Amino acid sequence: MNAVQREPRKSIWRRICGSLKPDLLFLFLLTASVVLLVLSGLKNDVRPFVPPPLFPKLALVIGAMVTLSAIATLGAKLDRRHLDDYMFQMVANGAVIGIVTTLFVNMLWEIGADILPPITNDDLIAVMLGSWSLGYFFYRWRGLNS
Amino acid sequence: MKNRLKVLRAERDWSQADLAGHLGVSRQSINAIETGKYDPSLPLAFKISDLFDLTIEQVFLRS
Repeated sequence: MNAVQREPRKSIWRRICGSLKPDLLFLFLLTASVVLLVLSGLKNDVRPFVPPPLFPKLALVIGAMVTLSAIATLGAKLDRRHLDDYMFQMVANGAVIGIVTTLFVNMLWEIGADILPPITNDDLIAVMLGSWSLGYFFYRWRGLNS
Repeated sequence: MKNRLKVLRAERDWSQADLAGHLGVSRQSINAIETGKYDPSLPLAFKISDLFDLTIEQVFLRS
């Protein structure tokens, strides 16, 4: 009975996921990321103190992003090889929850910047790690099929 | 996805830890498969079916 009730929801979700093109999605995210970094760099120019040049900052941040994501990819490959598939899936699914939650928290604070207390980078890191853990425990409790 | 893992394990009088040892996975993985919380990857499904000398379809059933 449960399987009969769950099946339509799965089908709708699969249809939505199937309509997304990961290559295009990640190309969009990469472009958005670079645009945000450029805008962030331009903001530095209007500060009263002498800002660091835009290009070195961009190069440093993009370089760090590319290098560290390559290292993280290798790390994930090792994790996948050495961890149980079940564990790896929970860690990976939890990470998705962590990233999405952090993005939403950041967006919420951007929208309510006037009424909410300021949030720091460290706060966001804490939110990401906390929601990653919560995501992991959620999947651990409810199972990966939930 | 439903499976007959618990029955097949019981027929051989294996504990979850025994089966996990044979397959080289954690006991939690076996528990999660048996309780339907996790569908194993294809390589693990092949490993399981090979261990019991059955086909994948004889171990895992469509829900």
